[in-house]
Amino acid sequence: MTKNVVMPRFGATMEEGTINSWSVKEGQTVSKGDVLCEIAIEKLTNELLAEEDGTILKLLGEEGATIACGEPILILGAAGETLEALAPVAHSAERTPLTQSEERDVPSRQPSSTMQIERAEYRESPQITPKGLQLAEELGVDYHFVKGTGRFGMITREDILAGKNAGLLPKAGAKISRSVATGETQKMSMMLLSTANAMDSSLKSTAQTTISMDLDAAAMVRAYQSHKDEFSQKGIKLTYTAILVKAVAGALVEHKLLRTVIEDANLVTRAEINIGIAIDVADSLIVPNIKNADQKNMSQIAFELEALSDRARNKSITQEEIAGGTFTISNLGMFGIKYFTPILKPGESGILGVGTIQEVVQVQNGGIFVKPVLNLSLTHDHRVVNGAPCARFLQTIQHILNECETLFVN
Amino acid sequence: MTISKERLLKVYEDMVLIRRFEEEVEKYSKNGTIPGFIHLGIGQEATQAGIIEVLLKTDYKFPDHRSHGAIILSSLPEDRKRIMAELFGKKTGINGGRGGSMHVNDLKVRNMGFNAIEGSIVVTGLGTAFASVYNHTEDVTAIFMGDGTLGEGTCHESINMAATWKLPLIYCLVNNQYAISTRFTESHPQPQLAMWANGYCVPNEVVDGNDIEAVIPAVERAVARARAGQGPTLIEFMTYRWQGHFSGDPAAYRPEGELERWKEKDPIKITRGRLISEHGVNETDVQSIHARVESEISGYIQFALESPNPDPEDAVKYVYTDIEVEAR
Amino acid sequence: MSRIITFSKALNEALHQEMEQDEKVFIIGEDVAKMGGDFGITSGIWKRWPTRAYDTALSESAIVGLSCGAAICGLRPVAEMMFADFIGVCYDQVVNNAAKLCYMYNGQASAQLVIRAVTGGGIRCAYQHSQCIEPWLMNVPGLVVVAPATPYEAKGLLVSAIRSNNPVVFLEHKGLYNTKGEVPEELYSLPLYKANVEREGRDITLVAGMTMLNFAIRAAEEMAKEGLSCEIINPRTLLPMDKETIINSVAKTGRLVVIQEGPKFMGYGAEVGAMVYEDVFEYLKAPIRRVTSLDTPVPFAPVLEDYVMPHYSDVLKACREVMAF
Repeated sequence: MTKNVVMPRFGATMEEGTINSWSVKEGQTVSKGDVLCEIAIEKLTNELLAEEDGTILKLLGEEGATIACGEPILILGAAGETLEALAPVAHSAERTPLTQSEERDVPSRQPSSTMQIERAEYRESPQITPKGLQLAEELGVDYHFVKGTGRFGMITREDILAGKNAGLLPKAGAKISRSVATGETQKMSMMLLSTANAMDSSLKSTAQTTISMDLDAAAMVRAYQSHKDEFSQKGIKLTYTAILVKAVAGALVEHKLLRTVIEDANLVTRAEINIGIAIDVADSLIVPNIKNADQKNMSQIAFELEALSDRARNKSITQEEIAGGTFTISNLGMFGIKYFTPILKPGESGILGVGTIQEVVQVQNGGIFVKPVLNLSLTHDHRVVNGAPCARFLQTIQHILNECETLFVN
Repeated sequence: MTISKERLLKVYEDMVLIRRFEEEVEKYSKNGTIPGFIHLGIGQEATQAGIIEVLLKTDYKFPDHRSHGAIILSSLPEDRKRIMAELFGKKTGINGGRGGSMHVNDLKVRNMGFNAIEGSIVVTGLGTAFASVYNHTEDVTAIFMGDGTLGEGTCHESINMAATWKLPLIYCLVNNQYAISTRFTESHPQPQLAMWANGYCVPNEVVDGNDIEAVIPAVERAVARARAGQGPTLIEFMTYRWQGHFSGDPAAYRPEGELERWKEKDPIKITRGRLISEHGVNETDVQSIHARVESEISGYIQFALESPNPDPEDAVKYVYTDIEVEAR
Repeated sequence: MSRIITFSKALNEALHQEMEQDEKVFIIGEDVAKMGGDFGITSGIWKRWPTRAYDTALSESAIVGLSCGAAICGLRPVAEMMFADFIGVCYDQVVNNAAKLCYMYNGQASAQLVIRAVTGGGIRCAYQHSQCIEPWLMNVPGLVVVAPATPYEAKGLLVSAIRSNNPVVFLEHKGLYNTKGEVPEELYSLPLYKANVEREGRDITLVAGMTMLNFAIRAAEEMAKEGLSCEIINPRTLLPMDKETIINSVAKTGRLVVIQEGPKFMGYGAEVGAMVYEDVFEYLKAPIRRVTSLDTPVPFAPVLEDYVMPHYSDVLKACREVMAF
């Protein structure tokens, strides 16, 4: 298949260029990036580089020839091709119908999340038909995620409609501008994209709402204080999160609905109680889980929690560690956050947001006491479990933590 | 030249076959089974049978729209029922039901078929005659044309070229007096149409088209000339069609008594009479000919009725030799 | 080995070389034999093969009818219509006979003939010697209509036309007869039914054949100075047309300008437009434009004929209009 290499246009006002010198010969094999010739435009010279590998079949201009922009200056064939092997050519190379598309593909990478999202790789400037673009704008579909099935890989109206119906595409916020005026544009990493999609998907497919409670943390604080040194001697860092993991796991044994999800119009209750922990890593969120947390003792949980955090931070978390979560705990207490509304992890029906421990003044039996209180925010999927059972779940956690010391018994 | 008894018996049977074929076709056309137009040649059997009798399978024959008889007789015996099936528009028709009555062709026997534009075959026939000369063969070309056809410019172009180049052609001008409703005397200046050929220096003769014993020798003479490279001949066969132009045409344009007069010159009746009186054929033998024809014809009808319709998608085949046309 | 020869010479060469190859090929027409044709396209053939070159009376119907009959018998006639306009005289033979022969014969025989028809205006010969007749033929299934634009195409396509088993009306635009171009000496053929992408581009698709190809090339060069790149498609075969190449190109550029000689109404530009609207409407960035002759017969006086024929300036105007939409 032959291709004409034409006199390029270096700059908007260039009309013609002069071939100062050829750097290749007929019959020579070239690789992409090789210098083909030197082109002079008025007082400047530029090198013309090969845009692809191939064989120089024919040079169409002599050194010193001045040729208009867009006119062919050499014929490039496939590697190893010769001019004799081709059909006779009169004035210009016989063209074959265009088969190459012009889409630029982002090199594909494996998504690091467990979620199955069918969307195209993000493409920076995908080709889209005029009517496709019009429809995308009307429907609020971000066509950068749409796979194009039209000619030359272009995105068509049908592709936009398919993307819209699948409901997988985020709405376009502001119009996607083609040129950057001010501010910064940064391509999102796969991880960020996955997370973004997960959030969107979660909100769209569940009826999640949050209830909150101030947990009486007195017993928990006492237990923590009394055991932390002992753990530290064993080389394990004890944290409130670990204690909460154990308490929540215990509560989940009884409160089945918080580990039940909807799958194809069925309510599926998970047997394993795998507690996920939201870990903030760089600017993203990783949620590995502690398997069968209800069956592990506090040391194991604390140890695992620490290990998972470390692995999350140095990006060596495995797929296995992220998959299979039953319930998630997200702790923003260290930032002073009190109440928040965490978003359900797709595939789960409950997530417990943990706020900061505050000392508050409580009135009890007419007396004024200072108590440590831990704010708990439970987001639940209202399709699966209503407010009352969730409230009871929280109460169970309170009861468990009232006897926090017992959690440390192996 | 007299026709031998054997030959006469043969052509008698041929004529009876044509007659019965046409009568059945008329019946099935009138009852709606045969779609489209039908042009019946009842009354013209001697002309058709006589011409085909003389020509070889390798000679090129261009029958016109009123020549079912010529088509039947020039086909191979096993293909005759397929001619009926073609008229019925069935898949088993000789052209797959694609052409019908007016467009039957069969290259095996060099039945070149009819192009329904009057005068068209008169110039296509130039080509087959030309090919004989070009390829150095002795095949002649016979073109059926009518008194009506003669009006077309192509006839003049054809005879002009054929005569100039001495092509091996026989113009079989079947003058059945009428072109639909127009008598030939109203559309041509020549009192006898054969005279037209004189203007082109083409030998011609006028023949009683209802007397097969006149038809055959005339055709033989013309064929001999053609094979010998002496060029074209025109034979005007005077005859008459008993039905209207097409089946269903009441033919009110004919004067009283004309049809009756011509029916007395029924070619089959004439030949039958001669067979019995001059050749000593007895009535029973004649009957057995009729019986044989009867069973043949009912075989054709049976075959045609029982045959399936063509596959609709066949309609897109053979538009080009090398490209498919999109079906639905 | 290529060398520069005229369009006429290229056609003549195709005939000679193909007749050397295949003894079934013969030529027939008015003045084609002894004189070598009114335009000299068949010169030298009668001298070499007196039994394969035939002068006829003025009998277009007989010429085409004879060609049909001969084709059924396996010969390969190359008939000439001295002026394409005369095809009206034998139109019946072309559309009712030749075009339908293969269909009528269930594929057992076909009209493997070529009718070379000298077409087009610009020579001040007025009404019946100047028409572009392709629309009269393109609505007839079974016909092939070929229209070369350069000497290279003329030879290669005529060879293919002669070898084709379908009836081919081969349109030779008389305005191209004296144009020159590189033509290989040896016998070669170019494929029928395939359009040629004369020039690749991204902004506008120009569809143009015969003499209009030159308009397209000039316009493309002009547009290049304005920073626009035009893709030029030369259909080469008008019927059956290479639809895929054309609509693919328009999908890429989003803009179409058809440049055709002859009246606009029901000119082949209408079909190209319809094909584009049906299949790649959503890729369009602008409505299509057609640059054509006016819808009149072709008059004699030069100012009158020039007024009626397509104007080059209209091509530029159309290009700018589609870009500005």
